[in-house]
Amino acid sequence: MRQWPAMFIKDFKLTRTVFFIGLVMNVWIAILTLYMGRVADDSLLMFVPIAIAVAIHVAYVPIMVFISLKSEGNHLPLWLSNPQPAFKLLLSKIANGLMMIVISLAFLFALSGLLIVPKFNLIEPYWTDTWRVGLFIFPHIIWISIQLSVWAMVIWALYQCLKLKIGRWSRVAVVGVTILSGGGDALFKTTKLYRLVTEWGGIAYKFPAILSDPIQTYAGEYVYDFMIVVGLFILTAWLVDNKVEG
Amino acid sequence: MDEFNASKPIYLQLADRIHRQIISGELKAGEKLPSIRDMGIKYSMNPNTVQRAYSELEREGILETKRGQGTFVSERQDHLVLQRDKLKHEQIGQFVHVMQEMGYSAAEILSGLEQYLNNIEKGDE
Amino acid sequence: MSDVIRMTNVTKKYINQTVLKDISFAVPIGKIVGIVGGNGSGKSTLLRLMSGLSLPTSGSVTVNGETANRRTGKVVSYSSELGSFYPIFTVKEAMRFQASQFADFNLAKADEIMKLMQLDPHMKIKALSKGHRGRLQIVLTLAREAPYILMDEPLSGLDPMVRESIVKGMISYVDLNSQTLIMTSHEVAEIETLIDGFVALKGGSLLRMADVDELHESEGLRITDWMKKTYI
Repeated sequence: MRQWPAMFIKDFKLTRTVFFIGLVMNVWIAILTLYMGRVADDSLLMFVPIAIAVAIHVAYVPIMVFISLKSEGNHLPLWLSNPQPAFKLLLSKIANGLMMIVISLAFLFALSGLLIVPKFNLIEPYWTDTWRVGLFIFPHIIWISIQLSVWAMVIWALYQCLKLKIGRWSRVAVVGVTILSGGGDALFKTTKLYRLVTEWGGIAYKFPAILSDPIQTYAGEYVYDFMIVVGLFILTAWLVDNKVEG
Repeated sequence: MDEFNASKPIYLQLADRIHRQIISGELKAGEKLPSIRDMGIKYSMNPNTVQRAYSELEREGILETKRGQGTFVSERQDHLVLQRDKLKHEQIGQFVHVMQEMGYSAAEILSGLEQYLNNIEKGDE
Repeated sequence: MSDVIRMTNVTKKYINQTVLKDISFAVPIGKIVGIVGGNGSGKSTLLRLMSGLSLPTSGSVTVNGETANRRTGKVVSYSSELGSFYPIFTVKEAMRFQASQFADFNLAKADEIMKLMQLDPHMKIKALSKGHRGRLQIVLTLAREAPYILMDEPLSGLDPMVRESIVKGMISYVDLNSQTLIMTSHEVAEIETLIDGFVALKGGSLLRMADVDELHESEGLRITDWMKKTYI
């Protein structure tokens, strides 16, 4: 078999148990929704569990990537002595997370779709906006999840580098770096400079039936986030290739 | 592995062993020896060491390597006879040296040896 | 002459502990070399540095002229002491995976060694005993036709029968015309007839590097006796 596909399948096998557990949990969410629909039959409350489940998916890819890296950590020489460059090894893990989150979310949306059919009268006035919101949320959840997964990777790689150099302080150091850079990022996003750099290509998404205010997005923000993610990814790959020891 | 224990380089010990097998007739003139790798596997020994042992014996004219065919016991019987005598001489020399060091006379050594050999012969029957 | 693993003034520290001190030597192609020394003498660390999995605190490690890092794995087939496997695989799957990742992995050779080692291809790695894991490690490491094969304690903790088949495997499947085998061992007697030369470590320092025959000629000693004399 080809090198990268074989790697991808191996990475799938590393986290498939968690993946299947996730799917089973989706089914449980659907059952819970069904149950709530019976109990409180006249409200949109029944869709709260699904909404929560969808929101929780932002943590999906980072969790998968982290579990995958953690299991590589049990036999690090094996992973590190692989002849492929680190960016390919890491990309395989992200690609796996991406595939799994797409399947999991699609599954959840499909289940909620099935549940909506008999209750269609409840949401009929909101219908157009509901599926448009769904369409808006779907890629955004995935995109945020991917961003977080890159953060998970860089934190893992940083920890691997530091633990041989400063020992037990490495956890503290990694947490410190994470808080500082997360805080720094948040702080930077409030500055004028950030707005200057990113506020272009604006689109306002209007969902009048559900939200009173439109959601304002800027292409510049996506570009900014994308650049940060690519930068972090390159940093992680460099750390794995040059600094992590097995 | 455990058979190679004396404080002599291992390649020389292997060379000695092959040499003795030729003298005893276990290996016949013209017979093909195992390849270096097979010999290594047989004695759990580094092929480089086997190679050195073979080279040593080749240098002495006891073995010869034919290109692309392998290593053989030399066909030159006269050489073997000479080697056989040489080895006998060496071994007896060592034995006598030790005996003399311990103060045995020539007659004592001779009679002792005779008796010993007679015993072995009887034991065989 | 660049086909060597070369260490130049290599020192390795972990946190505050110095594991290796100022080590310099080179190993060319075509040798079987033992790294010997007591527990904690730095044998495993030295091997990992040669594989590029560990990085020196100071000094340099080069493999075929290039500074060793994890990408050195392309020319070095390394096996760790406890064995590194994906437990999700069966024996056969593990072999296939290695074959997909390493261009120099010879699947036919792996099959042969697997038979010699009497491994069941359908066994789950999770369920393998320590001895069987040791054998699988041999299969996966020796089936690569890499210039350098580095094995950390390949014989330790295994019963004599397994040890013998592993030694036979090494002799059969390492081609000294194009490969070098470097292994660590705390039982020197075990590998004495197998090695051309040795690197002796004590407390992280290089005590001696020599050919086994050279030691015989200069000191009239076998390496086991030399070690007893030197280490006590």
